[in-house]
Order: sequence, then structure tokens, then C-alpha cells
Amino acid sequence: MYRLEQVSKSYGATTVLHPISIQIQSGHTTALIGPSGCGKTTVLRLLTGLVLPDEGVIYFDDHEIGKSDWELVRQKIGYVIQGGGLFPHLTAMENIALAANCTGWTQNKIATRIDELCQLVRMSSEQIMKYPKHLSGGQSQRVSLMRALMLDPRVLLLDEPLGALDPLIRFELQDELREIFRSLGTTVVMVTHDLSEAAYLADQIVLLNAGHVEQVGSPNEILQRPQSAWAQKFVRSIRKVVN
Amino acid sequence: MSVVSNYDSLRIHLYSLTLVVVCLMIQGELLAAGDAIVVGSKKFNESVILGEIAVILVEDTGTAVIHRRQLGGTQILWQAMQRGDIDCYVEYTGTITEEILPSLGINVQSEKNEMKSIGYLKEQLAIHDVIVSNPLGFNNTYALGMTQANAQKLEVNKISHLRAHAQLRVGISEEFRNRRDGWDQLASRYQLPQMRIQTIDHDLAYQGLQSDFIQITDLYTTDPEIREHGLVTLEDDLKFFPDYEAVLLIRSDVQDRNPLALAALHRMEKSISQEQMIALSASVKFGNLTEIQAAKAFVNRAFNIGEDITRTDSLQTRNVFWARLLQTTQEHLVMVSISMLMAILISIPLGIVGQSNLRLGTTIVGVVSVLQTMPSLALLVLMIPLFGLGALPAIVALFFYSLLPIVRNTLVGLKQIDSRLLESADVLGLNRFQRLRLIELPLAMPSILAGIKTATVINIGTATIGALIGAGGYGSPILTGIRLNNFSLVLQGAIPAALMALLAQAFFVAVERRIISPGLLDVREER
Repeated sequence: MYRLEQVSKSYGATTVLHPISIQIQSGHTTALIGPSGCGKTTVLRLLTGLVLPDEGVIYFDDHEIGKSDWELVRQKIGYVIQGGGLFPHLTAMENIALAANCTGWTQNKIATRIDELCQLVRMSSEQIMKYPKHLSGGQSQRVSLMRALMLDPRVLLLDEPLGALDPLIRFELQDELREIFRSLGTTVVMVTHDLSEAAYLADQIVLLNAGHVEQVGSPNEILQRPQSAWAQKFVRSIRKVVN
Repeated sequence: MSVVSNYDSLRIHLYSLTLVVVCLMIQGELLAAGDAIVVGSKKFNESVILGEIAVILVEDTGTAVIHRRQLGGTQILWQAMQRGDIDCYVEYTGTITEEILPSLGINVQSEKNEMKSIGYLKEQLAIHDVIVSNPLGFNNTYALGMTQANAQKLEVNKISHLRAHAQLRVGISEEFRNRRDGWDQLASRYQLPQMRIQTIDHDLAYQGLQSDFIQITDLYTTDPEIREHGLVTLEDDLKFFPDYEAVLLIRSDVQDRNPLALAALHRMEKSISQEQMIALSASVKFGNLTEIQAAKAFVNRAFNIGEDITRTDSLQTRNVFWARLLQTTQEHLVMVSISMLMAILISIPLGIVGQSNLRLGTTIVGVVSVLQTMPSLALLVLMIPLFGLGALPAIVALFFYSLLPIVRNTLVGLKQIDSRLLESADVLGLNRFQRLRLIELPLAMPSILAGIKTATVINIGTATIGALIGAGGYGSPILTGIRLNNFSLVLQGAIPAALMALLAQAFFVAVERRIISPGLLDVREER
């Protein structure tokens, strides 16, 4: 679906990404993981066009994405930013319907789609009448997900979707997310710093360290066969917590 | 969706408001007649009374006359006359040589007496198409005055005596402070040591003397207060002040437009003595006559006309409190609402542009800040050559004064938006205008409205200056009240202005409830 070839990014003197190449497979869930500052969020933002690469090329469906192509690509993307990014002045429903309204969907079509999504993420139609400030953390994440899924995107990009939630809700939502990813069959790319979450949700894990790709593989490969000393250290440190 | 409908209803409200305001304006403009003779007067009693005398004399020829009364100052009247907004007003020869000629680039050397002759003034102003009449018969020069008590205690009766009393506090009118024949020149000629100089409205200066807040002030020698309060006028022993013979300045085109009116105006020459002028002013300030009644009585005696004069005063003699309130409210509302509407329509786009381009934003805020710091009288004087007298120049000035709060709050409101929300909007596929309309403006709206609210309250207070250039409004009763020392008239302007500000506040609270999303209100603000 996506292919990054020798993509690099710097902000002034700070290099965030050394030239890296990553392949995102269609229909799979990929987790970008690594410590803070490893560049994982930058990679996700490169996939939305919010950040443009200094060098290198990004392909979408084997087409090189030029500067002017992003508008089209974005129509196929659903994006959930860290913290949800719900618009506080709109109700949950207005947040969810916003893109569809701007695209010119009929109100009928919008209502039908919102019903579907409510069932998918287990929200009631009363709950989505509320303003974001009246929603709990878990509800906000669900609404953000509904907003991202509204136009039935081919790719779902999630930046620390469960970052700020308390452990119980997080645990519950991990289950739900897994179910949703499986049932939708969409391509998912998510950023997380939690290896157990990545292992639970993803088919493929991209381990990043200081702007380099440290290792790419299935959760099993990463957990069982970390290839570098740093990867071993990273996996071990997580294991301690898990065990 | 309801996201959009709030703005549509706001837009409809704005449109209907504009319509009402425009109708009010047109109505106001129609009231100003076509080929009437327009008499102007300055904002002190003598000038208004003389204006009324001129009005009655011209009216006697069967001509329609409008009196633009109590305007702000020499420059405002002169500029208005140059532009044709007024046809004549009473000026003083000293003011012509010291104020008007220098503003035309002619410097009158004070030693040369022939340059102060009426003949010279006639010659010079003829170049600017203005006729100078012969003197009206009295000399109203400047003088310095003190209370009798202070003068006796300090043994002062000449200006040069003041050298020995540096501690005295001086309160002088704004105009006297800035004139070439004003305080600075006087002080340097007499080597006066006083350091505590205060600017104070001329009519309030008398109260200042009584309460000993100030000890010295500038006087006009025909002020009736001199006698009323038993003030001592200090002898000008170095002959600093020139003569201030009252004369009429008349646009030369009156000769062609209405020779009868011109002849009527000339009847005022040599008709009013110093004593008569003082008595006329006293009858208005301390007797209970209105300017019109005083002027009528005088014209009746001096010219044997005026028995059948039906002229009444729109602001004073007409003892209809509500009619006056309605008129001043309407005038005030026109100034405030049009200037605010324009300010809102211009400022918000300026704020949006300024937010998207940092350098441009800095420039915009810089320019509107400079406008904000312009003194109102100076701004008004600049407006008159462009827009003449009346509501228009006041509206333009108020418009300038209302820009800064709205521009700045729009900028700040937009800048405060969490950049992650804007990225969300971008990735959701909203284009630039959808993002602005559906996300940025609603999120910035609390800040923008707060700016509009601030601007409106300031605007309502500032609009009282409109009275200085004939725009009316609540400033008129205030000006008249100060001039006549009539406290209740001052309140008739001040209280409605305060009420209007309160109503505006309430109005904006209602607007906030309508157009600010409940999602943005603090929990404690919710009902």
C-alpha cells in the first residue's frame, strides 16, 4: 500500500529521520514502535502529508506521491491524532459527520453510516449528541475512530490511540480495536510505545531507534529474535514489565 | 447541519442591522437642505449667540438657514468653511493672524502693525475665497485672570507680577496651550516661572478657580463669568496679546448665491458693543434665556426686526425631553453602529490575513495601533477636509478607533488554536475555506467577540466627540451642558451613553449565547 524509499527528514540541525525505507502491506496492521524521539510519529505524519520528506520518495499504491497528490491521497486516509483531536465546538456527531458534510454526502447517507459506526465502536446515538468535553477518555477515542472511519478509508493511521487512557479502559479498548481491525480488513498503521500492545494488535512491527529502522518483522520475530544489541535491550526492557 | 446555520442567522441579523442604519443615515442627510445658508459657531456661548443673531438676520431675508452650532475649534470651522460645509462664522482678528494665517503658510510678524489691520486680513483671506467683514464692534481678547482673593493676597494685578509666584497652578484651555499667541509664547515673553500647567476646558476653568484647584487661567475678556465671579483680569503690561476684534468670515460664493443674505450678514458690523456682548452672554449663562431668546431680543432692539420670529432651538428651547433623547440616541446609534459594522467587516479579515503571514500581521497591528493613539481632536481635524462636517467624519474616526481591539483579538483567537486540531482538519480533507469557516473562526469566536465587545464600549464613549464636528449624539447635551454650566444637561448625555454601553454589553452576551458553541463554554457558564 505504502512504500517509503530512502526518506529522510530534518528540522533545522536536528535530523529526525536518516534515510529509511519501510513497506506497509495492504490489509495488514503495522505498528511503528520505539522510544520517544525515535521518529515514529514523524513517519506517521509523512504518511498523511502533514510532513513532507526532505529527500526520498513515498509511494501509494505504487504511485509516487507528488506534492499536489496529497489531497487525493487524504481522501483515502483516516487519521486519529494523539489525544483524539476532536473539535471542541462541535458535538461528537458533528465531528464524525464533518468530512462527509464537506464532501457533499446526503443527510440520509450520513445518518446510515453513523449508525453503522456506532454499532462498530459500541457507542449509543445519545452519547454522540454530547460535546467532547462531556465525553470520557474512552468515549473520545471511540468518537475519534468513528470520525476517521466515516468516509470508509482504505488506510487508518493512529497516533498513540490509547496513550492517555487508564490501564483498565486501555485493556478493554485493545480488545475492541483488534476486533475492529479484523472485521474491517483495512490497512492500519499505528504508533505506540508499548511493545505488548503492538504485539497484540499488529501483524508487522517496525522497530525504530534514533531515526533508523532497527528491525522489521512479525511480533514473534521481534520478540524471539531481536537482531541487534539495541533491539535485544528494547525487547528485554519491555519483557520485564510484561512479566 | 447546525454547524452552518448559526452563521447564517448571524449574517441575516447583520444584513438587517445594516439596512436600518443606512435608512437612518439617509433620513439624516435629507434633513440637511440644499441651498440654505449654513452658519457655524464655536463651542462657547458668545460664538453660539452670535451665530443665532446671524441666523435671524439671514432668515429675515426669506432665506433658509442652518446653524451648525458649538463645533470643536478654529481649525474645524476653518476647514469646514474651506470645504463649503459652512458659509460663515464669527472669528476674531487675533485668531486669524495667529492661527489661520500661519496654517496657510503666512507668518505675521508681531511687530508689524500693518499686518494686523483689517485691510491686510481681508486681502489675505480673499485669496482663499473668504470675505472678512468689518469688526462687529467689540474686542474679545485673551487675558489672564485670578480670583480677587488670590490677587489681593499676592498683590498681583499685572501679568509681570506673576514672576514672583512660581508656585501658582495654571489651568488653560487646550487651544490656548497650543496657539502661537498662547501660553508658551506668553510665558517666554514675560519670563514666567510657573511649572504646574494644566489643560482644562474653558468652561470648567471657572469652577477650577473657585475651588482653588488652579489659581490662574486664560480668559476671554467678554466672558460674563469675569463679572459674575468677581475675577481680576491681569493687565497685559508688555502688550503681548493682539486685538481680537470680532468679525464675520463669509465664503465669497455667498455673494453670488444669495446677495441678500450677504447684505444681512453685513448688518452685524459695528452693531455690538463690548458691554452688550457681555450682557448677552450673561443672560444666557446666568439668566434663564436660551441663545435664541437672547439673540431674538437683541435683534429686535438693534434692528427692529424679529417680533415674528418663530425659530426654536432643537436642543434647548424645545422643552421636549423625550424628543431630544430620541434625536441624540438616533444620532449616537448611527455613528456607533455604522462605524462598528465597518470595523468588524474590515478587522476580522485583517486579523485572518495577519495570522497567516507573520510579517504582514506585525505591520497591520502596528498601523492600527498608531491609529488608536491619535488624539481624537487631531484625527477629527484631519477628517474634515476629506469628509466635511457631520456624521461621516465622526464615523470614519470611530471606525479607526475600533480596529485595534478586534484585529488583535482575531489574531490572538486564531493563534491560540491547538495546531493538532488544524492538522486533523487538514487530514479530514477540509479545504482552506472550509477549515477557516467551520473550525478556525468558531474556535476563535469567543476571543473575536470579546474584542468586538471592548471596541463597542469604547466606541460608545468616544462617539461623544462627534458633537465637536456637528454629528450630534450624546456629546451635544454634554457640550451644551458644560458651556452653560448646566449639570442636568450634561447628565442627559452622560447617562444615556452609559446605558447604551450597558445595553451593548447585554446584546453581546445574547450574541455569545447564540453563536459561541456550548462546547466552548466553561462548565460553570453552562445553564
